[in-house]
Amino acid sequence: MNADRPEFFHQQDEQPQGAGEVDLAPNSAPGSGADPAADTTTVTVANPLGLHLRQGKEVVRIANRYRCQVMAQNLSRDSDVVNAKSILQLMQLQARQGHTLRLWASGPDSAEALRELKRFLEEAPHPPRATPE
Amino acid sequence: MIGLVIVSHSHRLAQGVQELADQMSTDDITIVAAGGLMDEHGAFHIGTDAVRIAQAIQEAWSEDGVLILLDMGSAVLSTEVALEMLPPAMRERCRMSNAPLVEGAIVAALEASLGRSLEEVNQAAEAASRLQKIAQE
Repeated sequence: MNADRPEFFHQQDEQPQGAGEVDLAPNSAPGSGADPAADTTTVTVANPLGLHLRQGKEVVRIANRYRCQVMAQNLSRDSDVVNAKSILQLMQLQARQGHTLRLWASGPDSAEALRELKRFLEEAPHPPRATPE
Repeated sequence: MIGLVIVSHSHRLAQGVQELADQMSTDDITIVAAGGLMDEHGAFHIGTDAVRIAQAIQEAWSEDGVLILLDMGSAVLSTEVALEMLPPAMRERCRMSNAPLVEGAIVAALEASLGRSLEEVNQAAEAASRLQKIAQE
């Protein structure tokens, strides 16, 4: 655990198996920040509004249902690798419709987590709703 | 599940931040706005009101604690006075957050709805002050 980045790990209840020594820092060079042994997939952002705040909220909610660590990078922007369980970090991907994201997950339930996140990010969104009132 | 209180000098700003935070949260999180200063005619002016803040804390009350997000200056002073009005057992489960108001409320609402503790929610909200908003190309 890196004491310089407490906010990065604060949501982890436990270290995923085998990820103890791996640097998953958000600020490391693109492509080098994720556990090489992690499951990975790429997704294309389907939502016309991009990965906006409320959609980001759902991604964080989904990711937090799993025990594995979930990381994400916006390949279209060559972004940092960020923790997908943190809304602050996820918003830093600045992902627009059509952008390609790479997701990594490491831990016992990583395959299910990636499947659900991919399905969510690639599904045709509902038409944007006006805020009620 | 902790409760949240939004303190601002502006009544409408506090309500707007609450509206935004509610979007990030779930129904089991209570978020209460305590903004502005009401005159004897019921009109709101710029200012903060310790009595209203104390009332908001009670409305948002949860045994797990209440996190108070505020704009600045006398919002802090009024919240300190409000906390002194509360029973000690309640006061000690309240935290004033150093987080930026808007971003902090968004993060706190989501983290609170994930069942995080008062300290965890506050830490996540305060991390918003280091947020880089614009993507670096």
